[in-house]
Order: sequence, then C-alpha cells, then structure tokens
Amino acid sequence: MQFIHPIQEIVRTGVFICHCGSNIAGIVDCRSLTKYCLTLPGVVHATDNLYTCSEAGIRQIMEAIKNNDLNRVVVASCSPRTHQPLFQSACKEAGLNPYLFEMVNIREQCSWVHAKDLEGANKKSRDLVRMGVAKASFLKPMIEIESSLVPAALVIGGGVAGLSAATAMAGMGLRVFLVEKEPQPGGLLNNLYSLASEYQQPCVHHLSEPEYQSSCTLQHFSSEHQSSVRHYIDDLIKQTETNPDITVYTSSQILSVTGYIGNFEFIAKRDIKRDAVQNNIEHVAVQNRSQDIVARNNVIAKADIESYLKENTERIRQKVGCIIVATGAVPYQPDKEFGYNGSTVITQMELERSFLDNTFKSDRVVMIQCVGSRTSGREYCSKICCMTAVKNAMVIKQKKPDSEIHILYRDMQMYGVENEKMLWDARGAGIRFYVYNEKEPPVVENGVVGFYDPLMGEFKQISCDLTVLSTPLTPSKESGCLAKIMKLPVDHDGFFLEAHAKLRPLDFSADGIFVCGSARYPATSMEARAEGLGAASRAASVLFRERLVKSAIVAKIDSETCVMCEDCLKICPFEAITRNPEKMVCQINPILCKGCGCCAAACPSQSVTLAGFEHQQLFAQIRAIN
Amino acid sequence: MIEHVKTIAKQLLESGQITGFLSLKKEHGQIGPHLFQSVDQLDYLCLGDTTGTENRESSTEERYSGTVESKPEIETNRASGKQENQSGAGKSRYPLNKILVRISRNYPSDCFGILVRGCDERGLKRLFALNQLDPDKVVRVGIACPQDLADECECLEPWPDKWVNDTEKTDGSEKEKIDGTEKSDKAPHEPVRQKLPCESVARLESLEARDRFDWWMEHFARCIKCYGCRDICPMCFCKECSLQDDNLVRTGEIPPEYPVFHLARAVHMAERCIDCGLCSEACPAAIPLRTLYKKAGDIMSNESGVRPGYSDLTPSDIGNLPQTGEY
Amino acid sequence: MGECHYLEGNYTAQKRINFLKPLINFVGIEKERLHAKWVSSAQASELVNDITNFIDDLREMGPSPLKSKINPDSIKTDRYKP
Ligand code: SF4
Ligand code: SF4
Ligand code: SF4
Ligand code: SF4
Ligand code: SF4
Ligand code: SF4
Repeated sequence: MQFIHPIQEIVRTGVFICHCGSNIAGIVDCRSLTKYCLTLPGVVHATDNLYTCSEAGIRQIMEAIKNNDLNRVVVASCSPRTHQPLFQSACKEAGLNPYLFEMVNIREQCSWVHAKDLEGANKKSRDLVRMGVAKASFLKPMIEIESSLVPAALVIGGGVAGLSAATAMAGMGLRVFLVEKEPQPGGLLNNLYSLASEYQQPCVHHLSEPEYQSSCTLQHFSSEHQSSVRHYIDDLIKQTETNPDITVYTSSQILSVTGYIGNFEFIAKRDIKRDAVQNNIEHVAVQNRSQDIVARNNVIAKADIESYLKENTERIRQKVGCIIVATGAVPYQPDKEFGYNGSTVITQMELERSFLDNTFKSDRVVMIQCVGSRTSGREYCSKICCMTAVKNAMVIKQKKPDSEIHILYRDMQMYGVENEKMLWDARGAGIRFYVYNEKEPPVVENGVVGFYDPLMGEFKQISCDLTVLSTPLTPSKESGCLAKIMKLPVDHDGFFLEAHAKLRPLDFSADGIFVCGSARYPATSMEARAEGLGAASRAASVLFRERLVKSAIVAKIDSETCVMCEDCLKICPFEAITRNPEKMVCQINPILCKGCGCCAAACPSQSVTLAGFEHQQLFAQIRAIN
Repeated sequence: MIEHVKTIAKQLLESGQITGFLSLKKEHGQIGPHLFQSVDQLDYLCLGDTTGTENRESSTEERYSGTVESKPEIETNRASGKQENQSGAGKSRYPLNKILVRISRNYPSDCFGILVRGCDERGLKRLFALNQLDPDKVVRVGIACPQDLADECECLEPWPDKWVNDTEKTDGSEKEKIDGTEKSDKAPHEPVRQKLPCESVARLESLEARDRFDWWMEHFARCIKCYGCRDICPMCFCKECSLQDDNLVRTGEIPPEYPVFHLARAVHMAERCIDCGLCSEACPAAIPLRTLYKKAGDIMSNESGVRPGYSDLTPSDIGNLPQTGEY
Repeated sequence: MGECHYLEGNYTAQKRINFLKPLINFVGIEKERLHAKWVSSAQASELVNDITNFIDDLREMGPSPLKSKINPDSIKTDRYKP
C-alpha cells in the first residue's frame, strides 16, 4: 500500500462509520473498522454512530470538523445517490468546502451483498474505506459554476404545439420569439376540415364559452361546426399575434444556434417578399376564410415565389434563454403505392382538402390503413391515422348517409375512451372494417380494391369510386436540418429524441432545449397542445430563476499540454468541447459539460481533468486496493 | 529516380511554393535528415542508404527470434536491393514527419515539401486528421520502397498514393516526368498486400496464452524506459506524455511497471500507429514493439473497418472510429 | 444499451472493451478475465447470475499471470544480444 500526500497542506481526515441501525452493523464490525480507520494515513478522527444521517449524526460531523480542524470528511454508509447531498451540506454548514467530502458505500456493497460472508464483508469494507480515504486526501475544494440567463424563449415551429407553448410562456410574462417557416402559422391544422377530438366532445369552438358544458354535447359533426378547426387555430394565432410579448417571424428559417442554457443566440433568415405576397392574399381573403386556404395553397405552390428566396431576405439575431422545438411533422406522400394518383386514389390529407373545398363527391369509398408505415423502412405506427380515417368516414356518412365506406386495416389504433366510442359508433353507422395482411397488401386497380381477408380465408374485391390512403406523419426535412444545426439527437425514424422517454419526456439531454408536438412523435392536436404547454412550463422553470447554478464536477483542458488532436471533442456526448484553432487547443464549456469523464479517459496526454475525479485521485484510490 | 526527386524539389523551391524540402542528406558518407532550403544544396539529397548499412529491422527480428538461418537470405536481399536500386529508395529511414511537425509548429505559415514513403504518407494523413499539420502547407513527394524492405516491414502498402516513377523516364513527356506525382497504375512490386495477420503476429497467436505471456513479459522486462520508442514515433506528438505520469507508470522503477507501460502506449497507438516500425528500430532493448502495435491496428480494423493512415480520413470521418484512449 | 445517462457513454465503453479484450489476449492475459455486461436496474437476477458465473470462470482460470511477476534477473539476456 502506498500513499502519496499532497505537499501543500496537511490532510486531516475525519471518518464517520454508520451502523444504519443493524443494516450495516449487523454484518460489518463497525467498531473495529473505526479503529482500523485511525491507522490510515491522514486520518485524525474516526467515529461510528447509529445513524449518521440523523440529526444527531449530522451534528456530530459538524462538531468534529470544528473541534478537530478536519479538512476532509469521509462517510462510510449507504448510497451517495441519496445521501451525498445531505452530508455535503453538513460540511458546508460547518465551513468546509462540500467538495472535500467523499462517500463510501459499505451497506449495499458490503453488508447487504455479502451478508453470508462475514469475513469477506469486513475485509471489503476495510478496503473500500481505505480507498475512499486515499481519494479524499487528493480532493480539492471547488466552487459551483454560476451563470446569468436571458429571460426569453425561442419557439421553433408555429403549429398547435408551438403556438400553445408561445402563448403559455407569454402568459407568464416571458418574452417569446416564434419562428415559422411558412408565411402563416397554424401548421398542419390549416389543412384540416375537422378533428377527431371534436367528435362527441364539447367542440373547441365553444371551449372558450362558459356555457359549453351544458349546451354543447353534440353527438356528431353538425354543419355549424365545420369550421371549428379553423376557428380553433385562428383563435390561437390571434392570441399569439396580438400578444405584445410574442414576436412572430413567419417565412423564416433558423440558420444557426449557438450558446448554452440561459444564453442561446439564434440567427434566422426571413423571406420578406414571400411574406408580403402572402399577406396581400390574406387581406383579400379575409372575408372568406375557406377560399383563403385554397388561394394560399395555390400561391405557395407557384414556383416564382421560390425565386424570391434568393433576394429580399432579412436576418434576425436574438438572444434567448431556452429553446422549444415544435417543428411538427409532414404527412407521408405516397409515390404510386396502391395506385396513388391524386384523383381517385388520394391521401387522408387530400380528402380533408376536398371537404374544405366542397369538392367531395364520392359515394363508395375504401380506406386503406398503414400505407407507408409499420413496414420495413418506416416501422413506427403514426398513431393518429386510424382515428383520422374513422373520423373522416363519419364525416362522409354524415354528408351522405347512403354512402358505402370500407376500411381495410391491419390493427386499429383507437386509444382512449372517446376514440373507442367513435369506432363503435362507426361500426353502428354501417362502416365496414376488414383486416388485411401485411404480406398480402390490397391491390387497387381501376376502381376495384382486391385483398385477401385472413379471417374469412378468401379473396375479396370491392369496387369504389374513391380510395383513400392513410399515410403516417413523417419527420420533415427541416427537422433534419435543424437537428444538424442544433446538434440534437433524433431516433432512427428521424423524430427528435428526448432525454428519457419516461423520466424526462419533453427535455433534450442538452439543457435548456425542449421538444413538443409531432416533432417528437406523431401527435393529435390535443396531445400537441398538451405537450406545448408542458414544454412551456419546463422552459419557464428554467427562465424564472435568477441565476443558473451547476455542479462544479466538470472537465477542464490544460491548454499548456493540449495539442488539439480532437480525441476528446469527438467523444464528448454533450458537444461541450470546441476547438480553438488560434491557440491550437480544445476547450470545454463548463456550462455544457455534464461531467461524464469520457474526454478525460480519451485524452492520451491526460490534458483533460475531470474535477472531483482527477487522475491523481482515481489512481490513489486504485493503488490503495492492494 | 533520385534525379527526378531532385528536379521536383528544385522546381518547388524555385517557384517559391515551398520554403524548404525535408528529405535526407548524405555528407561525408553519413546520412541524416535535412531541410533543403536552397537549390545548390540539393546535390547532397539522398533517398536513403543503398549500400548496405546494418539493417536494424532485420537484426531485431534475429535478435528475438534467435534464429540465424534467415541471415543469408537477407544478405542476398540486401545485395540485390543494392543493384536494383542504385538510385532508388534506400533503407535508412528517419521520422521526417516528426521533424516536420516540429518545424511547422514554429513556422505555421510556411509551406514545406517532404519526401514520403508509404508509411510516411500514412502518417501524414493521420497527422492531418489530428490537426497536427495543415494539408495545404505540405507538398508530398513520394517514393516507393524496395521489395526487400517491404518484406521486412511486413508492410501492407510500401508506397504512397503517388510516387516518382522510374519508368516514366523513357516514355513520359517532359512534363509528366518532372511532375512525378502521377499515380502509376502499376504497383512497383508484388505482392501488393501482405496477408493478414502479419507473420509476426500470427506466429505469436499460435502460441498458448501462457507462453505468449511469458514471451512478452521477458521482452517487456528488458525495457530500460528510455522513451526511445515514443521519441522517435511520428505519431507521438503530445506535449506531455502520459507515460511520464507518476500516477499511471510509477517513476523511479526500471524496468517500468510492465505491462502497463507498454500496453498504455499500445492503446494510444491504436488510433494512431501507421506501422512504420521506427519504434522497434529505435528500441535499444530490441523489444518487438511494432508487432504489438500491428496487432492493435488489426483489432481496430476489425472493429471499425479502418486502419489508421490507410484511407483518407477527414476529421469528421474519424468521429465514426471507435474511440480509444488509455486504461 | 443506448439508455445511458451520458447518452452514448455505454457504447463508448463497449468499444473500449471490444478493443481491450483481444489486446490483452495478445499479450497473454486471457481475454475472459475482462468481462463487461450491460444490465438495467430492473435486471437484478441477471446481474447476480452474471457475476457469479464470472467469478466461477475466474476461479477456474486461477490467479492472473500478472500476479507472478517475472524476476528480471532470471531473464537470459544473452539470447537477445545481436
Ligand atoms: S466530461 Fe463528458 S460532457 Fe464534459 S467535456 Fe468531457 S466528455 Fe464532454
Ligand atoms: S484529447 Fe487531449 S490533446 Fe487531444 S484535443 Fe483533447 S485535450 Fe487536447
Ligand atoms: S513500413 Fe517499411 S516498407 Fe512500408 S513504406 Fe514504411 S519503410 Fe517502406
Ligand atoms: S508506434 Fe512505432 S510503428 Fe507505430 S507509428 Fe509509432 S514508431 Fe511507427
Ligand atoms: S505515448 Fe501516448 S501520451 Fe505519450 S506521446 Fe505517445 S501518444 Fe502521447
Ligand atoms: S524504446 Fe524500448 S527500452 Fe526504450 S522505453 Fe521504449 S520499449 Fe523501453
């Protein structure tokens, strides 16, 4: 056993052994362990107590620090996960830097797992404490990192999710910048005729009116409610546009995002001409909303609009503290699959359009589910297409009660009470459902849909005058670009990947950036709204702080010895490392660094040090093993 | 061939494209690296020793294999090499890259020419990728190695991407001749690639684990910790070396804590070693370090499909390489 | 895998293990002496099993060759003279 003492100061370590009732003391002989500790180099005080984490135990630590002039504290007890902060704060209160504390786990690692091996448990606890003491002698005092923050947020994407997030944050008094790539906010909802969630629920039209609870319990979509989606989204847009705290940049695209939580800076490009053209049309069409949609789509489709893109752009540069990504998704556009042709074989999105335009004429309709989803290449379930199909089928039934509607599905994804009810009502209304096999997909030919029905074990043919394909929502190209610009993780389907699906569903692993809506995974408008509000509250929980404080356990690069080989830069999972070509070194941004230590392990010349886990400390610990 | 190199170097120097041409110089019968900065010095330019100094690589082989049978064969090789390559590339090799890194650290804005063999070029590619040299500031003039040297090196590619070609002397146009950077379709000699794993690696792998352990430990135990292997290695460009860290390898012990010392270096070399063999040549204790690093390279290419230096890696590409480091 | 608190941290660890195993094997330390397994917090029994098996394997292999350090004096230096 070999210890090297730091030269600058005399280490005075105090060791506290916890009995944890009988949890530890029942197996490990805490008394003799305490005695053993006193023989270790640097230890001037060692004691054992029943519960170190109790008030009495904490007081004991604080008194011992003062009476014995301790400058290192080692507690041998349970898991640092749960108790380290408590002991650290005790040190702090007693005037000792909390980073001069080291914890050893002799409960889980000794008394619990080696309950049947008394001798082994005792030996191991001595080993572990010895290692802890060895590391403690090399600990250095550290201070937490503080940084200021800008109380403003950037919302990327002006769909339901983005609009909801923006209005919610503005409602809390935060400054919000909303960047939307289209000339008009609203997202996909701009193209929809009705929402599945309207079915059998107090319709959104009446949400803001107090009497909706009693009056509006419509069982189906009445003609009065046809424009309710429009109404809903217009309402949201109006709230956004009239709020003085929200600045909306339409026809704009994010070019770059730099910085870190609390201090992001983004640059966006705005296409003024395209915006102006659009707004003119807005003025003309303001009296007639439904025409407006048609006009808008026509105008945007015009190629000459694209030519404006080159000139007449404006650069926007703003500082924000948090970023919410709500870039949404786009419906998958089939390429001749199932005979897609845009006229007699169309997508659900195009069906909604024809409702809006009043051009829908068909009597016999077949809908095919899972077109382009749950197959190789796109394996996920888009989750919203089944309810969309059933909802649209109901809309048709209501428009034309005599029409024949067949839905070919693989599985029906109708989650939730309301959707389940809608499915049963659809069956009641005479809409026919057939299951089909992925291996033998339906064939659409000259107005006849042929498929194999595995339940009946026979081939069926249905003739129709319209086939509607239910295509999934897919990540947009812009999302992909944005992921690259902002270095955000995406899953293998291209949707943004949150830090943890269950524990941190709206956070990115990079601090201060949040995700909501269909950018994360296909979502209904209600889910998108809920997620938008959720993301807003996550962002607000950051932005209402005075200063950001973060643990001092971060890595640092010694600029004297670094040669900018970028080994560390490539390995850092949090993109915390940047190069400084002028000095020919790499640098770590302490705000971005999460202290994982990958870089410290990767650097050949040991130029990286992870505070609290320095090479010297770790090697001291390792060398103390034997 | 040497005349071609001289012509190219002259051109480069005269045109002012490069500040200096780093190559070998022969003076008073001694060969050493030299940075040629004026045209008149070029007379002394040399491509390595062709007249048969002691071949240290082969003697390393002999020293550890303990056999003498291979000696006559090497003699003949050497003799034939002498005849064939009167003006060709010789065997004495120097870490020109390492010198170039040092020079360009001090003169970052100057552009230099450098004489490269296959391994030198592999080294350059890695050094570019690791930001140690700027590709725009280096002009390569390639030469291919003689067959016997390639065999001794167990070299996978004893020639750079482009090399000065002998054959062009007769049929190439004047311009092509002095250009000399045309990629020749013909490999200068067969076989193009050695089979993998190399013989030295394969031989060790055929041993029982315990024997292999003893074999290596005997070698490692001879180490006198002179750092010669690191100092000569063109890829060891760190300003401060982990091997000198008291925590990793305890100071004041000879032989150094083995195998930690040698394995730590092998791990560092995994992503870097371009298999030039200078370390083995330099090691006064004749430790077959190159064999160890060859194996590290084999593992890397198995894991990632890339062997350091063998393909043009840009910094963004190498993000996909398995990351390695010490421990 | 992939659910690391430090994002790709466990992939990085895997790469390193994949590299180290053949390397230590090459210097004669049995590669079975290095063992890595990824278990989630919900797979307690798997972890226990794995460790028990690993310990059994180690017992079977006997002490590490590194424990029996070679005495430098015993090395026949003459064999390596040029
Ligand atoms: S410790 Fe981890 S997060 Fe911090 S810089 Fe190093 S690799 Fe990146
Ligand atoms: S790995 Fe080390 S030497 Fe390389 S850039 Fe990072 S800190 Fe510098
Ligand atoms: S390794 Fe040997 S044969 Fe290969 S290029 Fe280098 S010197 Fe020539
Ligand atoms: S480790 Fe040896 S063979 Fe590899 S690059 Fe360095 S000197 Fe050459
Ligand atoms: S042995 Fe490793 S640390 Fe030392 S100079 Fe070479 S690469 Fe750098
Ligand atoms: S050159 Fe040989 S003796 Fe010198 S440190 Fe390297 S391995 Fe040891």
